Amino acid sequence: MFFLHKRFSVLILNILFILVNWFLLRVSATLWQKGTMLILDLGTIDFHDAYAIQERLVAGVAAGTEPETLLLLEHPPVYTIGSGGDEGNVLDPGIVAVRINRGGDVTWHGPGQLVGYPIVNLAARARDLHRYLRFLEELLVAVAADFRVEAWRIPGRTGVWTEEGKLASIGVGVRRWVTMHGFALNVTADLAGFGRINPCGIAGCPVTSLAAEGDRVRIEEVKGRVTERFGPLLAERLPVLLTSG
Amino acid sequence: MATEITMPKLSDTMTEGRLIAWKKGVGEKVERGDIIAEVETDKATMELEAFVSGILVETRIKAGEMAPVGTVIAVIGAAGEAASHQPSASEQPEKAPTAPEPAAPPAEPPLEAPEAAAAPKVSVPPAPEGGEEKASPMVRRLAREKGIDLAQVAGSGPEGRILQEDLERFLAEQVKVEVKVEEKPKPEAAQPSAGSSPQPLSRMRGAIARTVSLAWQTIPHFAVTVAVDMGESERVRQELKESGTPVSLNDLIVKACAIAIGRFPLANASFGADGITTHAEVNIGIAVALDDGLLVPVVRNCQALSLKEIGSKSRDLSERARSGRISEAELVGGTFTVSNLGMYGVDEFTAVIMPPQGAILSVGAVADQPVIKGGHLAAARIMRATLSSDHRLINGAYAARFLTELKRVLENPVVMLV
Repeated sequence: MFFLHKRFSVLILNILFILVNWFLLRVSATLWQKGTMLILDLGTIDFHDAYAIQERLVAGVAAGTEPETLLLLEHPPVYTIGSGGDEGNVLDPGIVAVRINRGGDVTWHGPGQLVGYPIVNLAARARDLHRYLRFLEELLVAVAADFRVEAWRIPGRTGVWTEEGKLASIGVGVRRWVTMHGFALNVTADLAGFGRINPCGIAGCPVTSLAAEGDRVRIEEVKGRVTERFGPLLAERLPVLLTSG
Repeated sequence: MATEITMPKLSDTMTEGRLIAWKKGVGEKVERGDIIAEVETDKATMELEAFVSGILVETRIKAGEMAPVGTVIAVIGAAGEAASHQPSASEQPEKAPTAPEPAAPPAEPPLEAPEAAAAPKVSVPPAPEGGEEKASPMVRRLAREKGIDLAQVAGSGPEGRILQEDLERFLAEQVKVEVKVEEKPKPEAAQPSAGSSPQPLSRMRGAIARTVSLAWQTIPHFAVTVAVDMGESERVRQELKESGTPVSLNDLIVKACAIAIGRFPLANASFGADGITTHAEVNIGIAVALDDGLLVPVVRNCQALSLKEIGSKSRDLSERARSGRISEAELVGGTFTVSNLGMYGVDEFTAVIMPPQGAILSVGAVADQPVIKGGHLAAARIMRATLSSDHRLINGAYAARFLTELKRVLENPVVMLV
């Protein structure tokens, strides 16, 4: 009886040992992930300045001299249009949309809209742009849910949607499998800016914001949730498969 | 030595890509590492880098055009090499199978996403066996699963290769055809002018055209509209959402229709040569707009479903209809339809009945409107709902009473929760 008991406790100890080890491994992996993903809050920054920072980071991440970085910011009002976008979707002739190297059509950025530019090395994770786009959508759906706004993706209509319309737009550019540009989530933005364009190339596409959907919300809180969620979800959906170099 | 540049595979789920712009012109010198083009899939663009130096000898697609993954889109020749001995664009189909792997996309490291192995390599097609249709193993498997004979599917890929979208298109058309509708001679629309040439109909467009023509030619339509105060329904929806039961306003409308049909069964009936068939099952179709068409998945037995059940079924069906992952069984057997254009901000509209059904509800947007309540001006959340009915089944007064019941339920939504 005693003998049996002893063997049993050895077994328990063994299991405990494995569990603790596994836990430590997970913790160190998380720390490593956190350590390498830099999240920078740039406040309000001009589109061209942010673009220059992105360009430098993309080159650095591709070369392995800069860590993967998520830029969080707001832009002063600006219209941008993807490389393949149709100028016909700019309805107001007074608007000059900046043509940039991302997917998607024309969109508006401005105060009250949280813009995220993740500079992520997909060569080390998964060379799969669709998976990356789905990751961004999932992130934003989860962040919207944090503020009790029910949002979802619509297959074939990349972005994040609620019953009232489009809550967040997505447009990504990739150079040597390093991403730039990213997402724009309407938080408290004045949606009138979208009225002078066909947002994302869809005529009459309704646009909404977290504030319009319900609870009072501040952009700083949303930044906080994005900051918390981004790294872990990225590690889950697009784990690092090989280290650079 | 000429190097072929192929449309890169930028995702396991990418079948074709759009060439956004050429960054180098034909005849221009290209250095290894130069960006020669920009390619788009979904909402992402990729800068296509040259992995050899030379002269851009030839481009085979124009900016804005789509090309299947793996097809040759350009050729880089050694400096001094002329384009003359390169195969012309018309010979292009022969080239694809001989190109073992795209040379142009960034050299892949051996370690790849694990799923990559299972994905079809479009650039290395299986040797076509005598007279068999060209399709990747994945497409063949899908066809087997869905019981599609590949011989009947027209391929849109290179050399008539059958792509996944071809299957989806084929399936969508089959479904529409089976809804009924014998081929009738289509009245040719008058051409607006000699200058504009007609575009061939997509299969789905053709199927929709047949269905609505049949409906419009055989069913004497009439429409009745009612204004509904959706304030209470919106509140109930918000409460449900907060308690963890996500339902949409459309789900509330579908549920309300099921209740109203319980009292006015002729709204759930079919007119036929032998008489009127009143259906015991309330199978409500939900019109789902697609980029290039329309699908109407059916929520079955709504009379027996709770609001929550209708919500989850409807959400699942609509998402799968939009992504083309819906089976034909889920698109047939409707007895009533709800078409909601509220998200587009329209006030009201009149939808065409889907034969052999007898009625369809057209739902407009909910908007703030002034109303008089108890002699005072107030704002209300008004939505207009229009019932198109088959006059052979339903009289004006009957349609009006149906709508009054629908209005009562939506304005007292507690009825739907019990």
